[in-house]
Formats: sequence, C-alpha cells, structure tokens
Amino acid sequence: MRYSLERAFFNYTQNLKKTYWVIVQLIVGCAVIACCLNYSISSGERYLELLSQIEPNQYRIDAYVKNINADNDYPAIRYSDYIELSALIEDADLSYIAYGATLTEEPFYLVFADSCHYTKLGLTNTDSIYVGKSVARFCGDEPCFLTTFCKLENDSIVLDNAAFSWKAFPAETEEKIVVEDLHSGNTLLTERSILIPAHLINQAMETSEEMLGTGLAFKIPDDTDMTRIKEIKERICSFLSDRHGDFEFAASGEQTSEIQSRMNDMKINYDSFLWISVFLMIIVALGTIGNALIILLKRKRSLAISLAVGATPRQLFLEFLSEVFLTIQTGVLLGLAVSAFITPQLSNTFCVVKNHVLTWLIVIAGGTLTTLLVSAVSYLLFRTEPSRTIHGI
Amino acid sequence: MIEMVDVKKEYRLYGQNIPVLNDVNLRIDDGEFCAIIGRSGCGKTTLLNILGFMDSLTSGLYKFDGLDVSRTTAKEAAGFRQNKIGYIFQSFYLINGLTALENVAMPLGYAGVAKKNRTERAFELLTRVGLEQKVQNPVQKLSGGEQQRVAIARALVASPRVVLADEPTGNLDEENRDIVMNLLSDIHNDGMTIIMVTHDMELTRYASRVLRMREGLILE
Repeated sequence: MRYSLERAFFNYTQNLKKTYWVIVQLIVGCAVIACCLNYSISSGERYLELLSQIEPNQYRIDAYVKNINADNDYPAIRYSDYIELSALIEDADLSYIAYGATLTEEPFYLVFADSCHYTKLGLTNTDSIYVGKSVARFCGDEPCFLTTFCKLENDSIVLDNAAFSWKAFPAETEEKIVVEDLHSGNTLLTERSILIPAHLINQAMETSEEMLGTGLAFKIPDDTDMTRIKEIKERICSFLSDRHGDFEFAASGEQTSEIQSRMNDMKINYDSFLWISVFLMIIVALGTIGNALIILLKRKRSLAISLAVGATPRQLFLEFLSEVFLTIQTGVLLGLAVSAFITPQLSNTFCVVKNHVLTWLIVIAGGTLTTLLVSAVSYLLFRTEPSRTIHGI
Repeated sequence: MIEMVDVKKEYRLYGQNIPVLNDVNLRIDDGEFCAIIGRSGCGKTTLLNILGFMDSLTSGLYKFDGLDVSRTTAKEAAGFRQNKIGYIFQSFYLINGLTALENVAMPLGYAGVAKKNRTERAFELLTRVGLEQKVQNPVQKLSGGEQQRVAIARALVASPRVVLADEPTGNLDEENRDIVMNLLSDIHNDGMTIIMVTHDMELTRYASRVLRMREGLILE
C-alpha cells in the first residue's frame, strides 16, 4: 500500500505537465461553482435576515442626518428629543433609536440600534466591543452608523445598512479592530478604536440623557395612509432641524410588502444560483471523469507492466485512486482559493456575498465524489487479465 | 516443478470459440532451461502467459510446485507473479520516466519490501547484468541491449523460482543477443529454471531441452 501511494505521488508530480489542463479546467469550474454557491447561500441568509425584520403590520421610518461628514461635529439628538417626538406623533411607536454616546472624551458611534438589538448580539456584561470613530468618517455621504439591524455571525457583527463587519472581542482585549467594508471590498483599520465594556453601554442606556443620537427609527401601522406617512416624515425632519439647525435630516421608510419583495428577489437568487451550481457540478464532474479516463488509457502501458511484475489489481486501483485524488483536489483547492478572492466582488446593495465554509465543503466533497466515480470506472478496467492488457498495448 | 495435464485454452471471438492450446501436457523440472519453439500463432506466448499467471486456462490441470493452480484469483495470480515468476518480454516493457534502478526495484515495492532493501537488491542485480554505471539513467535513454538487461535484472530481483522469457532477443542485434543469451545461460547455470519462447532455432543451443509447438500442441 505504501509503495502504491509512493508511486501515485511520483506519477502525480511526473504527469503534472500532461494533466495541467485538467487542473486548469477544474480551477475554473470550481471557482465558478464556489462563487455561485456563495451567492446562493448569502442570498438565503439575507432572505432569513429580512424575514426576521418583518413585523406584521409595521411600517418603519428611519430619520437620519443627511449631511454628516468627517468635518462636522456629530449631531446631538438627545433622548428628550425622541420622547417629545413620540408624544408629537402619537400613532408611531418610537422603538428604535440609533445612538451616538459620549462615554469617553472622544465621541464614538455605538452601532446598536437599541438595547433590544444589543441583546440580540448575545453579549454579556463581561463582553466588550471596539467601535472606531474613523469608521463613521469613512462612510462618505451616507451615515453608515445608522444601523438598525445587525447580527453576530462567526464572531463578526454584520451591519445591515452600512454593510460593515465589526468584530466582537472578549473584555480587556486591546487589539485594534479591522473593519471591512463589504460593499467596496476595502479593509479599514480604525486607528483610534475604543474599548467599551458592555456594562458601560447598559449604563448609558439607562442614563439616556447622556446619549447623543444620530438618527431615529419609528414604527407605525403598515396600513397607515401614505399621505400620513409622508406627513410624519416631514414632521420628524422639521422637528429635528429645528432642534439641530446645523444639520439636514431625511426620512425613509419601508413597508412589509417592500421587504417581502426584496425577500422574493433573494429567493430567486438563492434558487437560481443553487441550480446553476448543481448543473455546473455535474458538467465539471463528467468532464473530469472523461479526462481522467483518457489519462488512464494513455498510461495503460505502465499499468499493464506493473500488473505483469506482480502488482495486484487492488494496489493499482489504490495507486490510480490516489493519483486522481491528488490531481482533482489540486484543482478544487486552487479553484476555491480563486473564488475566495472573487466572491467579495459579487456583493451588491441588496446582498453581501461572503465566502462560506459550507461552499468549501460542498466543492471538496464534489471533488472527492468525482474521484470515487473515476476510480469505480477504472476499477473495471483493472479487472482485465494482464496478458490481454500487456499484449494490447 | 511445473506440470500441465490436458490444458486447453480458447478465446472467444465474434461469438465463436477459437482454440489456441489443445490438450497441452507438459512437465518441467527444477533447473531446466527449456526452449519452446514454433511458428507464429502456434500458441507459444499463450502457453507462456498461462505458465506465468498472466492468463487463465480454459480447462485442464496446472500444478506449480505440486500445488494445483488451475483456478487462481487475481490476487493469488499477482502473488505468484510477484514471488515465483520472473518475466522477460521481447519489447522489454520498462516504465519510461523511471531510472533503471527504480524499474528493477518496482516488483519489490509492490511486494512490500522496504525502500532501502529493495534499492540494495536492485543495485546488486544491475551490477550482475553489468549496468552498475547506469543505475540512475532513465531507461528510455539506454540502448536496446541495456534495456533488456534491465528487464532481466527486474525479472530476477524477487528471486523467482522460474524465469519466463518471451522472445527475449527478438528486438536485439547480434551482439546484444549474445550478451543477453549468455546472461540467461549464467542464470541457468546458477540453478534457475528458465522457460524461453523463441522462433530462432539458433538460440536452442543454450537450452537443456527443446519443446516444439504446432497448432496448440506440444511435440517433444
């Protein structure tokens, strides 16, 4: 067995010049398959995310600062503002608020919309997060800190609106945070990140007079008349402009049906890319099986000689299986590496496309299955008597 | 050592059974140098293939060292080819890309012999056939005579009970033919049993016994 593996590795390295085109085909095939799968899985995740956002009969209005940029001071929407607004707009439920809090000398932006979302992150009082001031500065015109939906995933907080990925750290960690802009693909290192222990955040929530807001979110019944919705939006903006004259405010909203429409898009993405992946997997597998058998037939001579000098069909089967496995997995792994670079570029405003471990597992398993299919066919070839094989060459 | 009783071999071609060996009866003792001669198509190579466990017989009895081996599994046949039989082909059948040493050591590799031991043994055999200077040469760069000597070394490397040679000088010039035949003769003188198939009458002078074949039958 050991010699068979030795020979398989020798054959693999010796024949790389002959099999490179098989590997190239596999790289391209697997990269495309992996990208499609990543797109499909990401769409599925986004679908579930949107599903969790749907609150029946609720219409959400986001009010936020329009003209914030690196040179502005940060707006100071106080908790009292939102209490007054709540009273002013009776039919709206001011249940979400995007906070900017001054807990230290430097202002920073707290990414969680409210304590409700904070709880969703699953952080305890012993956890901490880093939040960088420069993150807000890099957002351009859009106030990216107005993030009303965020979730913890593989230790990363994925922010919905801003599409930033922030990392949750254990308490007392002093690492700097690397913030990845998933839309543009840029990676930004926040230079002045601040460690915020969770108990301070909780404290800040309780002593809300200290909280500085950068945006507000209202929920009103979904069947509210559009004219009324428009009126509410204008009222919020004019109220905030009166209080904070240096800033312009805007309000946007989304109905449940609109979210559902986006969900349908995601569903279509999920289904179509999944089927494309399956189709491509079959094509690539068939192509690989064909190529591997061509290689096998070209090497029939050496296989026949090996049989004649005493190799058992099982040893040759193992030898060929190992060689094909090495060849196929080389293509598969390189293809996955290529897809890892391409995948982030597929992100768009509707869906953040990420690399998924599940994709890697599926593609690697596909490669292994193909190897087994090749071997199963080749096993039939090795069953011939050596005399016929050797005299047939 | 080798005994065949009423051995028949038929091939099936286009739905018809084509007889190749007809009731072959044969006994070869230890240490014999047996030459089998006959015209092309008379069944010499088929007989050699059956003797060397490269092919199966249709009916009859084949005994090797007193053991009935008429019906062997693929694994058992491989075991015989590995340990009991050394095969020399007309076209050498060496593996291109491997060195002379690697080619000779290959049967031992499949037999599970450790790398160091098989390399030493292969070197010893290559020295015996006069190729100690070319052990690291890729076989495709050796001359025809040298390649056949590598093939002989490979046939001997596992210390087989019998060496089967199928037209071993068929692809060689006169000078190399003599070298190869002298080598086989030396091996025979060391006590090895050799069965050689040839159509070259001149080579029978090296043999201790000559068998003539015609239309699948052995005529002593």
